[in-house]
Amino acid sequence: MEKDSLGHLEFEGADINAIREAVVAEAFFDNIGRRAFILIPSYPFLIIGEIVDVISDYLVIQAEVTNVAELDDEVFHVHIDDIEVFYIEKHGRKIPDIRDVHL
Amino acid sequence: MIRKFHIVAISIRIVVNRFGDYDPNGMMYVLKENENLIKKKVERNPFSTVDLVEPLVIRANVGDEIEVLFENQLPFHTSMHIQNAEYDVLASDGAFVGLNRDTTVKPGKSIIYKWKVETEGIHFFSDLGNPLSSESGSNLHGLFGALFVEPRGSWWTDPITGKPINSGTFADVHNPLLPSFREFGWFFHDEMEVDDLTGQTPISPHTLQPEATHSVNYRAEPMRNRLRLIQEGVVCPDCEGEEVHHDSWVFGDPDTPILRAYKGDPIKIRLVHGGTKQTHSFHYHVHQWLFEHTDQDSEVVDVQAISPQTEYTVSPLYGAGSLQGAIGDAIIHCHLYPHFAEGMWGIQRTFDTLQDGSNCYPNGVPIKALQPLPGLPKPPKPTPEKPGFPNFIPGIPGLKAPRPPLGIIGGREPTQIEKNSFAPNAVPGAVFTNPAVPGVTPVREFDIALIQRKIVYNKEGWHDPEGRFYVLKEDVEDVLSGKKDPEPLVIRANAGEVIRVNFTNMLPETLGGNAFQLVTRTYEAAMHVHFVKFDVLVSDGGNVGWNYDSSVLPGETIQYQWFADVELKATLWHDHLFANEHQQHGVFASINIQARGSKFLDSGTGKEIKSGTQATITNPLIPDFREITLFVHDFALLFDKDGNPLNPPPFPGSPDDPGVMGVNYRNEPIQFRLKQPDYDPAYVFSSWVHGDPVTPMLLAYNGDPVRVRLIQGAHEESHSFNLHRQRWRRERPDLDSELDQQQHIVIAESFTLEFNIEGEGDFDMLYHFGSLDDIWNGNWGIFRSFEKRVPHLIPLPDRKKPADREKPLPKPTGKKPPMAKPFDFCYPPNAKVRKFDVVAISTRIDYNKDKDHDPFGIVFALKDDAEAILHKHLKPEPLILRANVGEFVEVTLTNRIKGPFHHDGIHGYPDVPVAAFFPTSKRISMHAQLVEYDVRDSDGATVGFNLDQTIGPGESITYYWYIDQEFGAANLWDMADVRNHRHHGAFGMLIAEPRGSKYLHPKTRREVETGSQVIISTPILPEFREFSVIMHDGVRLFDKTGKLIIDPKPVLLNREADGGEEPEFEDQGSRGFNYRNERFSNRVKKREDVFTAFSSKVHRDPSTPLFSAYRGDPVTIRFIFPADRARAHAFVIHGHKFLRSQNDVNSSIVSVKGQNTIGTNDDFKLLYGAGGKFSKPGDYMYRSGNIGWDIELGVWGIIEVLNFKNSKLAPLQPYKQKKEAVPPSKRDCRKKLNRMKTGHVKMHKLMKANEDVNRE
Repeated sequence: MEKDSLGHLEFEGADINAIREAVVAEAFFDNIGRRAFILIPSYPFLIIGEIVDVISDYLVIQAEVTNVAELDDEVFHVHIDDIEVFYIEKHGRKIPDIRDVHL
Repeated sequence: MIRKFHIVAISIRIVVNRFGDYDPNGMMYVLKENENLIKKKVERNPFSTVDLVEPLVIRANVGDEIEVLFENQLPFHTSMHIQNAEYDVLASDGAFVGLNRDTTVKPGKSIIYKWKVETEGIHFFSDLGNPLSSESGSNLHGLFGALFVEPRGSWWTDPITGKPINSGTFADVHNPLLPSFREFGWFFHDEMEVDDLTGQTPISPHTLQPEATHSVNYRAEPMRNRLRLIQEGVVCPDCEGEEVHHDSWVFGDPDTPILRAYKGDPIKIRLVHGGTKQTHSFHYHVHQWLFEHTDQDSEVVDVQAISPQTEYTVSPLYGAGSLQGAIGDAIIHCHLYPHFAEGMWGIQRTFDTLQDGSNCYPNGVPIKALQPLPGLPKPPKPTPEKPGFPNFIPGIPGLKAPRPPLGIIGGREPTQIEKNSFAPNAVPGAVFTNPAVPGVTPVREFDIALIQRKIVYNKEGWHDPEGRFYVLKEDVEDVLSGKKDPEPLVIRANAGEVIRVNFTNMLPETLGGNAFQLVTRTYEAAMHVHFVKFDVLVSDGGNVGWNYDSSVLPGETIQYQWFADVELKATLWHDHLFANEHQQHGVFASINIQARGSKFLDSGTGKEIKSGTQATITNPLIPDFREITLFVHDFALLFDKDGNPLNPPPFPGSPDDPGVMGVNYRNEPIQFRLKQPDYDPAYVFSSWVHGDPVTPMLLAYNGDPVRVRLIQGAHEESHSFNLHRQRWRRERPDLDSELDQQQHIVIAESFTLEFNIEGEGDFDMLYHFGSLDDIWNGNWGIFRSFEKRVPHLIPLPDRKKPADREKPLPKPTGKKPPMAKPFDFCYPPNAKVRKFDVVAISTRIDYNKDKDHDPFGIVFALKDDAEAILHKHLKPEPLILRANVGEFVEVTLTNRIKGPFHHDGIHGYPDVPVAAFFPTSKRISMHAQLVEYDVRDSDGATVGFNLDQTIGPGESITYYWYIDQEFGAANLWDMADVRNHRHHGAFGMLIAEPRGSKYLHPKTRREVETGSQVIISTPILPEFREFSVIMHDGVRLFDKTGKLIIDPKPVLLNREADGGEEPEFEDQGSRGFNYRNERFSNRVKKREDVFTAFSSKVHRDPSTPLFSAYRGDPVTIRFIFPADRARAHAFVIHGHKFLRSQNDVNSSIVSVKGQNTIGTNDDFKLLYGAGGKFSKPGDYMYRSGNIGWDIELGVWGIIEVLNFKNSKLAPLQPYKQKKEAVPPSKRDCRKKLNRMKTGHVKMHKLMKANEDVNRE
């Protein structure tokens, strides 16, 4: 197969997109069991919950909270490429809770 | 594909409803194939509506060519002028403009128009052979229609028969690739000459006075006719009127459009304004849609303001019934209540069972068949157990609709047939559909009452003795006892929540009995809400069609349920039963839907609150912000402290603009802010002299994020929110939308204006509602921002705490503030500073070659031009300043206004409501929109506790601005005397040009400092021609004999003889473009000659600016509206199109811009350049879209597109491409990557580098 025109987007012989994907996947994989905050471009846009697993290039996350109350506590499979923003709760600031506990 | 239509303009009796109201002089376009049939049907049914008598809608697909054989059977020249299409202006403009040949058609003759259509959507057409505003004209009698352009490959069928159709306002549109949808043409139109059955002007049985009619698709269902049936005891004898106006149980269905669909059907309403004068407020219950339906980033709306000759496609999200699948009747109406009452409404009916033509409505009227859309599941057939809407509702025809099951405390039990139709999770207030999941969806509950109490609007004792407003039930006692001041109720909830409301009607049973209103029983009340999701049958808070009457009697309580599926803006709610009668007394409120997890704090104490127009909103994920909810309203029926009515109508109950205005039940009329000894209007906004106004004050610290929730609560007028200094995106979710500082608003619209407070030190910023009428009545206030801590405002929890305050806050002194001095600053190195010496002078302004003139003009001019103007060597034009992005601007203004002024204190025509002594200020100032500056020294207004920024005779002041981005056109205006200066010409335009631009004279290409048409030459971009258009009204002119011209007055009609009404305040005054107009009255004397009015061959070129370009030249039109009245206007360009939002390629392509009012600023980059796509030479008209008054008063002009080189116009220099970009070689990339590898390269830096390489 002919090498594609983006062949120059490589780093030390590897495809740069593959590297990026692998690094992000690794970040989640290394933190299975921790809480994460992710923003994705599609519904429900925001998920806060525990990282359950990383299967190939999919993140499995047990949602505590999403942007939509009805989807709280569901398990989501999110493609790594769809994650626009993420934060994994380690020793830094805690991810806040936006559930309407006061109602 | 070429589509051919033979269209005839005919005169026809248009009956607008079954009560026989009709326009005896109706006119319409009709397909030739239907002409005889229609004429016969109308002849046989002179007192009934005829289905085929409707605005002509023809259809084509994107890419089609259309040939119209147009035949004129009317007794004067007529035409078809189309918008948005491509055509040859010399052959198919449908007008007789400039030096073009006549493309209107004389009586009995015909012409072929050729159009090419390229974009999906509405292509409005109307007559320009007779654009008179009076009943002598054609448009108000119905001579308009539209071409709807569908996606390529589409076809269209009759929704009843399923057979193909050639015309018709309603159709089902199908496409091999796209889902089928229901298409409904909805034409608002006003000012139609409607008589009653006897041929007389219709009389309201309520007021016993003549009444106007407002229409949709040549139909109107005004309250007056239905009211008569009640008064005569034919139906519902115990009803009052307004509460059952829309009730099909009482009267059967209206004659206005009923848009029928099955639950979930995709819908496109093609919303068109075919009328001539008013800017209407289109509201569609239950549903919301994207403002730009092709742009996912666009703002979600449920109300659309619409000016004459403009159009919008309304494509409701989730289809018929919205997200919740609400079956039932969703009313669609003009929210301007007098229009609503006078007939401007219809229904969108969502069925849940199959309608094959065999079923009947409860009153026995057959339900016409409705073909299911292909590709969607067929709805189930009705059965006796589950008969489907509306036949499960236990009503009795002739009597008021029944009350809903479950919701009313102590109400009736549901019937078994009702129960069969219940949603599985039915609860009170959400019975037939409930989008909430019990036990999962969070619930927030409110107890709310509607009460009556006197509201005092200002310190002068202006008051509404019958103020009516919603309050939390827990606050009723405190508000009634006077412990708490009334303000519009604002409650809050978070996205994803269910809101359950227990609403109690605590109003007295009657209202009125004074100069404003007759005694009326207003015995029912409700809460009709916008935006959130609800069951329309039981929680609409209305009484519509075959739905339940979801209101309650005094003392009763009803439960409503709303579901806030997403974060929303301020969502209005109001009563829908007696709205026309009492909404202007204050019956409007809001629930603001915030992001999930938000808390709502009192900005003074930091404690959580349940209600309040102002709050501090905190959220763990998004930045905390200040929220202020502003409700503007008009028709405020107030009395002065002595009990005298303020601006009473000609008779009680008249909708002719009674009363005054307010913001959050407050106003601060500027007539009370003059102070001895010189009563100078320059200080009306000053808190030093008068203290702070009683209108809402927004308090913030510098840098705080702010969301202004802007709503219009009542009742009929357009308003224009203007804020000094701070800017926001026109559509909040869309970063491609325009940067703005002004927002037009009609009743029920809601906007969020989001910004972070920019500025240093403590400062005050003026907000106002633009028009003279508004500011005069006190619709203005102050936003105050602090640098250091004040005790009455908590800092935002997530921001750095402000430093402690050392000096006390200022207090009123009763004295004029000292002059502001520029704060110390220094320009950055290499800063480009552009300096202007500007003078304000008094001069006569000639508006046209017929010497209609303003002898008391006040204009801004460059100092170098002032002498020439004063010595009549140079005609005054509005000052146009230009500066480039990245430049600093210093404007030194010198006051040389010497008068004479036209009055010593009593202004007179053009007048204002509650006129009073108000002398002309001899001071002057200049305020600029959209630029960055320090409010404390360069705002051009003396506001709050800021120092004086106006100047007296002989004095000078320098304002310092920075042009940070290419915002295009902006208004410049005087703020020293809004009443007396602006309409005499004290305004101008500032244009932010691209970086590095030079401004060249269009003939000589020499650099110029000002001028309404220039060439903009930049080192990088192609050159373009720039035409600056300033539309303005409220002008006071004299004719050449020195006689005062009282406008508007219909051309060729004697108003006294005609018995016409006096114009409303908002229409008073002459109007024009750039201090010029070309009035029909100076050009035509007979109705038969009106078609020649635009012709330079018959007359001469108009006095308005004549803009010139060669065909294909890139052209940008800079447009502003600086003065003066509340009436909104449309702006139309013939034969050209532009993006509605110039930087957003997903925005609609249009050739008209509506809702232009005080503070409007816009930029129209003409697609394909001068001459349109086909680069056709000829004369293209630019004009107002308001046939009602504007066009005949001279608000039109010409853009000439030249074919051959002419010594009058220098050609643009061809764009020389720079060295062709060479794609980066693989070697270059490698080199860069290797360089980066040598350091500690982070992954994101690598990616960035690759992007850079790609751009190189």
